[in-house]
Amino acid sequence: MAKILLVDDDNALRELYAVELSSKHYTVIEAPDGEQGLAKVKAEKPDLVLLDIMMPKLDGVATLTRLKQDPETKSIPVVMLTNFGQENLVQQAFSSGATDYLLKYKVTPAEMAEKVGQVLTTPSP
Amino acid sequence: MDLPIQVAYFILLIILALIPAAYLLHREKKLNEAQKKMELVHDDFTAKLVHELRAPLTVIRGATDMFLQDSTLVAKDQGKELLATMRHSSEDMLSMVNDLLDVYKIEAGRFQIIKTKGSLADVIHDRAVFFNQLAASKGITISVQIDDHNLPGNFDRERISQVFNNLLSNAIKFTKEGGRIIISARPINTNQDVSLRFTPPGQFVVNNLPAFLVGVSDTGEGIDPGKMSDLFSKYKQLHQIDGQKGSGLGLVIAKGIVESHGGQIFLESRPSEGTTVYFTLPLVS
Repeated sequence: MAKILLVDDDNALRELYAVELSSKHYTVIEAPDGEQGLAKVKAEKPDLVLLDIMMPKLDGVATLTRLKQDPETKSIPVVMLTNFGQENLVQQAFSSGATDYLLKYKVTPAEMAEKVGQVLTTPSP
Repeated sequence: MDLPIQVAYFILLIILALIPAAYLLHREKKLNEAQKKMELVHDDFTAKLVHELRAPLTVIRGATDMFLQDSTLVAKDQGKELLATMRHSSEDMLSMVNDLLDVYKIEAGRFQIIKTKGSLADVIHDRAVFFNQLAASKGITISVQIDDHNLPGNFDRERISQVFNNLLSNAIKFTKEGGRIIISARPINTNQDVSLRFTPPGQFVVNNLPAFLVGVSDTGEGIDPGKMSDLFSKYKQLHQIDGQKGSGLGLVIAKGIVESHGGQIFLESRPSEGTTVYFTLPLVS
């Protein structure tokens, strides 16, 4: 089953999403910040990355940019998963290569997992 | 009067009338700019506050959805973990709301303390024991340096304990494994008695003597000198450190509590050497 990397500095939210994704039989790897997220992407080669924006050390947009600049990781779909819904951030994420942008306070864990499934089954352009 | 003189006089009158008008317009422009800046700061604070409260609410709502979808989840180990996480998130939120209420009361001048006779040494030992487990889990030692085992005073025990809670949890957050935290307290009668970590005796002026001088020192990363003035401002806080959520208003509230007792709170810090937060507790009301 597909491997999902969950990058979020909020321990409680990571646990919540990990439980939901595991119940859908995904293998879940976690990272608490952008720096460790980048290291885990290289080490684990996940099928999809769920990426928070506001994190210490390296924020989500900077992490996304580095993922998309690296030939080894640029084809991995990245779904932003954040509580920041400002239009400029959304546009910046998409222009930096994000596949989708989810607001944590608007989607249930089940809807998040459903979106993950949709992205994984949609052929990449 | 000749016509040219009349014209000159008239022009002079107009200039004299325009000067105060120009000054008033300039002042209004400056006030509007300052007001707009304050509104931006307020908006930024509100935006941060909303974000900080959303996170635990998202956890509670999301976990509730999962239990509603799967009624067997509550009996499973994962379900029990989720329940504990929900409890923890609701405590985080309650703590944030309580902090905000305290800050509101402090700013509105409605913050009340109830002083009773008690032992400051007792409070210090009690808080040191309370935080010892958390510190030890990070490989940090907490030690107490006081000469008098009583340190009798007149203060609000619950609120002074809250000051120690805020200072100690900050010290633990910013100190790496193997570091040390020292709580010290002693009576001071004159400014010559005031000997700080990085400031020689007599150079710091304490109002309201005699008092206890309390210090919470750490061997942490220290504070950027450019950020020291922001530490007691609520508008610069509301941050997160390594996954630990919180209002970040600890120092703001500690200041309010200490000042309600007639004391002062201040700090010394050097990057890579650590920080000491001091506060005074006057012995005479």
